[in-house]
Amino acid sequence: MKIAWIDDDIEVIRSVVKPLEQDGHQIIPIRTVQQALDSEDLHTCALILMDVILPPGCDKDFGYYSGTSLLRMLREEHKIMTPVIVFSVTDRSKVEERLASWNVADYVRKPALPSELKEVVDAVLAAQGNSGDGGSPTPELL
Amino acid sequence: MSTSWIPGHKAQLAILKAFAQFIKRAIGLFEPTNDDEIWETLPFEEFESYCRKIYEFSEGKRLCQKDHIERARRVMESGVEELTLCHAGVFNQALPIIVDGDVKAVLMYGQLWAVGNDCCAEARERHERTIARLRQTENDELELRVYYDEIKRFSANDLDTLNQQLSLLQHSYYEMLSEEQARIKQADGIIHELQIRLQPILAEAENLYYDLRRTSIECPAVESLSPVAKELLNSVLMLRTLVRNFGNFMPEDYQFKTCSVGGLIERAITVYGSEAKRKRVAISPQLEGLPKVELSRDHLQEAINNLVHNAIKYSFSGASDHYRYVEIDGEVVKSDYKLTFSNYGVGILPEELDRIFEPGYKGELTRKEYRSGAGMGLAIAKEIIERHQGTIEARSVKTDGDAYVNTFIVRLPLEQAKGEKYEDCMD
Repeated sequence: MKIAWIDDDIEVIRSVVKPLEQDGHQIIPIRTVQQALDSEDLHTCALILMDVILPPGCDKDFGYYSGTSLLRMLREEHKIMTPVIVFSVTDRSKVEERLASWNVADYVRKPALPSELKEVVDAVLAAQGNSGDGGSPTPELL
Repeated sequence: MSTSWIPGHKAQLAILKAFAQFIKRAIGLFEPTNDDEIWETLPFEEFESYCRKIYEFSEGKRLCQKDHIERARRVMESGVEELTLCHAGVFNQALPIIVDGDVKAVLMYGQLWAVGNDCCAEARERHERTIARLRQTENDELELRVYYDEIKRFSANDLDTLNQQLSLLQHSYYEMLSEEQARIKQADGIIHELQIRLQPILAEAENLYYDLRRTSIECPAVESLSPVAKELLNSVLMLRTLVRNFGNFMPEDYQFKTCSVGGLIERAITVYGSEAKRKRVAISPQLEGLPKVELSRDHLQEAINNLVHNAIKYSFSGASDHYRYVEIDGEVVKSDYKLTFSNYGVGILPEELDRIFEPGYKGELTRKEYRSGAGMGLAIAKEIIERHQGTIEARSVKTDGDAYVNTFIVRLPLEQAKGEKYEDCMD
């Protein structure tokens, strides 16, 4: 499955999606709000992972959390209804109300284990009827 | 009265209450956060009789509150002190509290008569209009007139002195608050940065661990790296817990979703696995069914972390030839999921079994044995479990020597009841 990942820190934190890539998912990196708006991949991917703190930074509607403005535009103006998982260092309580209208499937707070992110992605994809190709077994206890 | 700002403002409340008692005037505070509410310190019984009388009429009370809010908003915007008349012909003072050029709040007091003020004639006119509007009986009119003439008199000097004292008090308070908020913001910034920097370390640590476990390469280097990778991962997980706790990670809102309890247990064991290993304590989870339970994941993870950590911490250490066990059992019992955490070690005296859930309380035997900690883990766990409409109880049975078998039993409803309490949790 194609998973779009909207985050300006992808190069630094790329390793967190390794289990997803091992499962056969293709991760499409998108680094800015403008790139997201221009991207054709958002129309065809199975899932969107996104941070809510994105360049260009302050947004006139949502201040620091310009990712919330992006999600509004994706839903309302671009009619993209792909499930979204918010993957951010921000506490969900700070943004959940703003995002309530735009159908966020789940939240994962950074820093997250790759297995934690994979668990949430798998659950959301399963709920949508889109399981990964093969899938690695659930991480064992250490 | 707005409650959104009361925690942490207790000192301010105490000072203003004392001031209100001293000058025998109602003092109100209007802050941006408490928007439509004016917060008052003097008990209603101690209001001026005239104002108490007006409050008897719902129309009168409504006009008073509307008046206060309008005055407060006006001064909030203008930043200029006002001595004005209310709708009923009573003088009220509104003081802007300005720190670093910002109006932080408007402090108001009133129910007074300003002697020699230019507006005294207008005050009497408003008083007459109030009588006409509100009176329902002759007695009402009589009381309103009598009480009006009894309103306490303040000279211009009196008011100046009070204004200076109140302003100074509030100004100092808000300056202190601003400094505290700046420190919190700085700390928040550091926590934020730490969490971002921790992400690649955490991810790489887990990836390395699983890569080493799955590799088919057999060589001494790989064999020696595996335990190191595990230790590294556990340490980084501990660091994440510390950073999150330091930053008051716990969100205020409980978000209930159907999740697996097993995953939470696994993570708790992962976090404290190193400590268990050092003590030669084996953790043995036996979770039957593993149903999905409606829970607030982050909160319940915290509660389970605390219970697992306690079980390890207060377990006696094992030896080279035998391990101690911490057992974690789970089963469905009617409409609940029952989790049991058991260990063998430092016990709890019978008379303390209820007290150990009190914040800060550490049992007598724990003190004797000394284990580090603030005594908050069980209190936090209990609060979280009760917010899940669950229960927790403790048992501690003496066995041989100084050892006890301790058992913590947690019951969580499989589904949250859809009642008022459920909706509170969902706010």
